[in-house]
Amino acid sequence: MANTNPAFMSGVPELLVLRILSDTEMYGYELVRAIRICSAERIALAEGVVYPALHSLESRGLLKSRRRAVDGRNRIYYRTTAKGIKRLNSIVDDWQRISAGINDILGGQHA
Amino acid sequence: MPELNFARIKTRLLIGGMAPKYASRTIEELKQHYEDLYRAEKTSGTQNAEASANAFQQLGDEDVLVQEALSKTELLSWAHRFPKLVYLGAVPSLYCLLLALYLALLLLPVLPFVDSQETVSVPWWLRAHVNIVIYSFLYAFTPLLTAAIFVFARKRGSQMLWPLVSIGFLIVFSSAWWVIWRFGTEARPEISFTLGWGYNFLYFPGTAQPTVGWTAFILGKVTANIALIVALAKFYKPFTNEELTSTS
Repeated sequence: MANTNPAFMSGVPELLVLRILSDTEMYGYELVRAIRICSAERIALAEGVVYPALHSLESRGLLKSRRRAVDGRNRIYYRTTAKGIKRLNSIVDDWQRISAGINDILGGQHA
Repeated sequence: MPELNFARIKTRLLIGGMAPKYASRTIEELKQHYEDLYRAEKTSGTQNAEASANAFQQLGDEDVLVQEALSKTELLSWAHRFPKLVYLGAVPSLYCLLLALYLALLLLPVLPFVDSQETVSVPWWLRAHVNIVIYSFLYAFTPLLTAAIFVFARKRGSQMLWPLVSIGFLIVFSSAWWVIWRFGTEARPEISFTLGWGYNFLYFPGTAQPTVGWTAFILGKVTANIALIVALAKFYKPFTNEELTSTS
């Protein structure tokens, strides 16, 4: 069952959204499903909060959107821009550096 | 878990300062997301009421949605983030821009006739054009602009102090427009017209002295414009007082 995950509110969505939408364009519902599947259900979130995150990223030029009529419904699809790819690479570098440091600490290599 | 009320969420987003285009889009996408969740629940065999409840629960808590949306400052309207800049800076700039467009609209068709040395009669459409532009400027421009500013601010649930200061300035300033500059020639009296501002508020040497009649005319315009805004304040309320106090 999805619930509100504080981590999702504090910057993680930017990484997840930019990464997933760098492969293919999706609308919000598809994106939330993709996050669940790709994270093997480990990341659960209040699904509605994905939209402010998407709009925020778009307003910063990291995503672009377009409307597409699919099965009689007017969907808004999002995709990562070139600027978004650069931002993604930067976040991934930061994430890997920090997670490596944390893993070292948790693994006891700091002693 | 209570069902999400999309209309109420939109109201809360607007009153919280979100730009209307983002508020509308957020609600549109939330509704579509709910429909997708509901269909998925139905497909898996869930009954209607339970499917709806589950879909709403997966969308999330209303307070969390609103709080998260309003935490994205880039999605807030300029009028909410910078009210003084918008209402005291952008509005006068807009007035000047529209005034320049008005003058261009007025003067461009007239100039060839004024400069002409030949004796040609001024076509009827040009006289009509001059009259329409001048009288629409004198009587319709200010009410339309101030009403637009008022509606703009009310739709965003803005605090009304700065919009009303801006509107008050425009009403007084634009109502003072009258005769300073006489345009046209003796040879072309039929297209002579006059423009200017501050006839009663700014006296320029060489111009006619203000008269009681002009003062009454200007005060009449001020009063009419203020009456329009008072009427709008009474009858145009996109949000109830309860919404404004409970969701801000």
